[in-house]
Amino acid sequence: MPETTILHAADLHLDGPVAVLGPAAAESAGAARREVLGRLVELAGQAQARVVILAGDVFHSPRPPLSAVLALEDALAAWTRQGARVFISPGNHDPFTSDSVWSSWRAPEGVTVFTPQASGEALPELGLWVAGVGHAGPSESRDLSPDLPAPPDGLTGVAVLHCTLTGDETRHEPYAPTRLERLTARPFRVWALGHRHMPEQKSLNPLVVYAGTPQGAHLAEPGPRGAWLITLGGAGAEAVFHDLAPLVFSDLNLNGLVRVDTIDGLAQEVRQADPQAAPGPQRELCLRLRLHGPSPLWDLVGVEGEAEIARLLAQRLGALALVLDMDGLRPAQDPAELENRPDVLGRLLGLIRQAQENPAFLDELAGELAKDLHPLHRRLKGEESREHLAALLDHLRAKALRDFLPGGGR
Amino acid sequence: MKIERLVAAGFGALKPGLTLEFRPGLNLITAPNETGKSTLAELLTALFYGFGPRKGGAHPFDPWEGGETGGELFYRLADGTGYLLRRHITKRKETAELSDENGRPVNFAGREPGELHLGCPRGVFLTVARLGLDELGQAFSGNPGKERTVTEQALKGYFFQEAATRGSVTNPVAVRQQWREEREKLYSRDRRKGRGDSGLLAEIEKAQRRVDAANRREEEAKEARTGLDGLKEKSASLAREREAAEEELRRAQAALGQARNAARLAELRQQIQELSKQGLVSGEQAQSVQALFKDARELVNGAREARSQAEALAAQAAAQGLGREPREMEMDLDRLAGGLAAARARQREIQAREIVLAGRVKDLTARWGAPPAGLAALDDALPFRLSGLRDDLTQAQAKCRDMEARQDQAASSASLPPAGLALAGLGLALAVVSAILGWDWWGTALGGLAAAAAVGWLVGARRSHAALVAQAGQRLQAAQDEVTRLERELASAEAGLPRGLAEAQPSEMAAARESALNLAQDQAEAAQAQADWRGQWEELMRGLAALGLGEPDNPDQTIEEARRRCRGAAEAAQAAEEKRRTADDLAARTAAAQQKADQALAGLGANDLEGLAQAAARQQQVARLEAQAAEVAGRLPEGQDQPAPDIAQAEATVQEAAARLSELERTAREQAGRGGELRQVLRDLAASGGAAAAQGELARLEQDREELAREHDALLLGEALLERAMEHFRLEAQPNLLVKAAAYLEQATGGAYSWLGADLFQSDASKPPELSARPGPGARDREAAALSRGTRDQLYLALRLALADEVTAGGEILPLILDDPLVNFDDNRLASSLAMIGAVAGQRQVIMLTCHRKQAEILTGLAKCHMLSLE
Repeated sequence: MPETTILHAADLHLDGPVAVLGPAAAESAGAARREVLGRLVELAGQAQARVVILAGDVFHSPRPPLSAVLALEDALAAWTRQGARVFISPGNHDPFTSDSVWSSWRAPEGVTVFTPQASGEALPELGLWVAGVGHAGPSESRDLSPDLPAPPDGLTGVAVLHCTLTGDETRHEPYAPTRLERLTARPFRVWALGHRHMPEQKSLNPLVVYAGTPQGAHLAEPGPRGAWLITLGGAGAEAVFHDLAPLVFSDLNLNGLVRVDTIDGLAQEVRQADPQAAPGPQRELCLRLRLHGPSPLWDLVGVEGEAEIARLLAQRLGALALVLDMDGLRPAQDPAELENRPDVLGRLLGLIRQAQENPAFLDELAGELAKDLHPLHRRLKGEESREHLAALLDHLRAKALRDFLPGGGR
Repeated sequence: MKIERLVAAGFGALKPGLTLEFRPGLNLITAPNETGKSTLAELLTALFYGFGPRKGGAHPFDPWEGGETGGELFYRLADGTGYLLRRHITKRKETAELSDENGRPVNFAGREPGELHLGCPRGVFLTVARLGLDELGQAFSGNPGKERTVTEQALKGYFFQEAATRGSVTNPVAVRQQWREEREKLYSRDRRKGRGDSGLLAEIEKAQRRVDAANRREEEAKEARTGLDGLKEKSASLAREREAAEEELRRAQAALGQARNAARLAELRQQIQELSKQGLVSGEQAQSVQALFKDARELVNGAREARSQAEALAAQAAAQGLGREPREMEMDLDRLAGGLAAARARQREIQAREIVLAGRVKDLTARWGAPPAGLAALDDALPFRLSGLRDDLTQAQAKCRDMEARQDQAASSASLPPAGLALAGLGLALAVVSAILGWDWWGTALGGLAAAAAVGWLVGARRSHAALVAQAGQRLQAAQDEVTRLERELASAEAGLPRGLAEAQPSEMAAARESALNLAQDQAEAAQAQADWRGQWEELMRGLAALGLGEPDNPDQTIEEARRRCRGAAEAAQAAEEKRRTADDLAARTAAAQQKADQALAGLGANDLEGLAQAAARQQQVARLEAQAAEVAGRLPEGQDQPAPDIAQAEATVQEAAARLSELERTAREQAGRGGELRQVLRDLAASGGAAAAQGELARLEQDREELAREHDALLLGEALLERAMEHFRLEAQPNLLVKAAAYLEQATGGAYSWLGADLFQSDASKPPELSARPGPGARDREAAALSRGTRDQLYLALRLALADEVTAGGEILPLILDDPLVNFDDNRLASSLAMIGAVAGQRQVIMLTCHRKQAEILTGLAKCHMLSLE
């Protein structure tokens, strides 16, 4: 067979939101999904990919807005103009149902959308057999892998599937669950998978690859995201990951900052903790940084203020957006020592601890404050109200320390 | 510090010389009113901090019994060092001296000794070390104004924020206020506040509208998408119809073309036939005949032209000859030219003569300074008259000088003759000598007579001299008058004459006049010669005019030009003659050529050259038509040129097909336009980012509001907890001051009140602290103002004692001077309070001043007292 390059992407979630960390990133976040689609087109063109695989969840919803459909159509037109064949397997977010976008959408020439009825298509000029299946509903519970038709003799099989491998379950029910060994037992050279948003090679021979989402949606999807270029030839299959996401998220918790007393030092700590947390020529960094424990930085907060530190740190790191959570930061003193201070601050810290440890006390406070809470929380009752207030206590402790101990209480 | 000795020099009611020896512990002075107890307390204070200003020229504490105001105090500090402090008021100023126990002066450098050794300003001393009845009922003492302010600043910290925060954290009141303000900025029921939340709500509302708009765009785009799909189907159908219509049109156009070609071929053939009937001449034949006619025309034209040229030359000759025969004319011109040359020679001669005359005029003018006309006009006798006047003047001037000499001579001659003078002197001497010597009378008379005669001689000589001088003066004056007259006359004669002329000799002047007259004569002759020449010139000009040459500016040139014209006229006349002969020759050749051409034309059957040209043109047209017919015949299918199709029908079919195609194209354009609009809608939607972006922005704003709500609630919770912490601290974690004061109060009240407090977190720190007391744990606070006078006095006494403890903690312990402060205490409280004072005396020196024997008795019963008297 001739050497063929396949672009493998999945979980585009074209109409899905991208979390915005502050107004500065709003524009970039709004355009990120489409931007990455354009980069996929560009990558396929540069690599002269002859096959493009979108392994599920192209759309975030079964009936996406037309703007998302148009964006996909533009990309498909570009790919087909480049001479590539495109294969789409609907996933759990955009299943192939009677009322979903796929049933009413007319695929352009050169584009194949797999239905819940597994099927395959021969590409004799490439010596390939591309098989796939779409989800029949938003909670596909079948293992779809056995249904994929095996490649005819003389053709190399490429399977396209949106599925959950055992061991990779998320908090949701496993959709289209299957096992790695079931996949590797089938006569396919490549399994191009979707659903898991973290890019990962599960097997080298046969090649089993989760494309991952090309653009992280929020802080829980940190690090580089993109797509794979799979080179398929006589020698086998090889996959190379390409970082494409315009916005890269990083969610860091830093502790043990006892020797860090400058913003530059803090920036250094961030780079060491997550080398990927850096902007690039074609990507912006959205960073949430949570600081914990005693640190000389506490003194810095008293001098510069939290907002200024966040601004300067974002500048040092070149971050587009930075959420700096310093609620866990403490002055150098021992927390117990702080609570035992013979002054109002000591009393206040003691009361905060009491509220954290004593639900009855928190209930008492909830009852007392109920009518003065913000309207969004005024109607909370019982457990909800208590949980709401409990979630504020860490922040309150940090604020109390900052406001009562200007300059770190020196 | 302990006060050991006080000596009053004189101070109010205190007796001068009063000496009090104090001891550590309790010193008790019991004395009735008006004996100086309060004055003693005042003197102690004044020695440390100064007496203060005089009022009305006197100090309030000037001694009642007279003497010097002031006193001295010996005290010892905790380190054992003793000091002697003296302070007095003189009429001029207040003096203070401080020395150690060895007599070495101590420099207290602008401060009061109390500030130096007690470590506190006067107001603090009055508050914590000297207590009188009037001092109680308030937290601080000291004079109102700066002293009170300084005192409050020094002591307030022991009550409030400083104590509450231990100086290491921000004031809780400020934090509470800050949190409240932050919270109310985020959200408040008061619409004037809470801008954060209301602003976000407004933004959320806008974002929601953007989401709605985006959704509407999505719907529009969906409709557009559907419409576009429909248009695509219609376009495909339309394209097919258009293809059929185009084919139909092509067929109709082909049929029409055939019909038109057949008709055209028939028409061409018909035209060829008709032209052939009218006669045809080949191009070569026509050109031959036309060449003959052309030759004949050229001969005619040549003859005509030669004749015309002859006439023109004749006319030119006539014009150039000015209407005369050129030879005669030339002779006249020669004569005039000769006259002109002679006239010019004469003119040059006249001009040379004028130049000579001008030179003479210039010479005369330069020689005499007057124009020749002026010289000629001189009187011929003037030179001789001027010469006579000058001679007369010379003589008169000489005479005048002679008269002056004579007058000088007369004036300088002696007016008294010396002999007369000698005689007079001799006579006088004789008379005197005779008289002296007593000579005879005659001697004296002789001398007298001689003197008188001499005097008479002298008088006559004197008169004669004066007459001579006057005569000489008159003659001189007459001579001077004559000179003056002659000078005037000469000046009058010379007036108006140039200087040279005026100074000239008569002969020179006469010669000048003669030259001037001669010059005038020559000038007149020259003018006449000029007039003659001008007449001669005008005659010549008239001659030129008579020849028709006018009066030229340059006659020579005009004559020369006339000569050239005469020669030209002669030449033109000759040329005209030759041309006439040429014309006659050409006219003879024209007739033969015309005859030959007419014969050739008749040979070709044409009436004239136009007919010949038309026949040739017809021949050419026939050739073109035959070529066109061949081309049209070539386009027709073979064998189909006979039946001519119906053109009108073919045209109608073409028009019908074209109209159909046009209609289809119009529809296609409309569909394309509609398609463009729909695609634009889709492009707009794609460019707008769709609803997802708007939804994302809305979600971000809602997230921001959630964050704001959390921050608000955190601050609210913080305020509530802080309020509790502050209250807890106020009640249970008081500053040392209040703890100690409470202990004193409990002791003073016999346990009736065991807690004393202040509003620690009072936000208005400028006001005095509000004190309160509580009978026991769990009881409600009672504000000081609500307590009985006695209890309130006890409360403030306890507070002052505690303040003294706090102020002096780690420093110099102040003595306590009590000026009968316990008068409002009941018996039990009095006993308790005195016991407390006795206990205090164990820690600090106490000087108790009272007029109540009962208090003294109780006190002596409770503690060891050192009794002192003011007597």
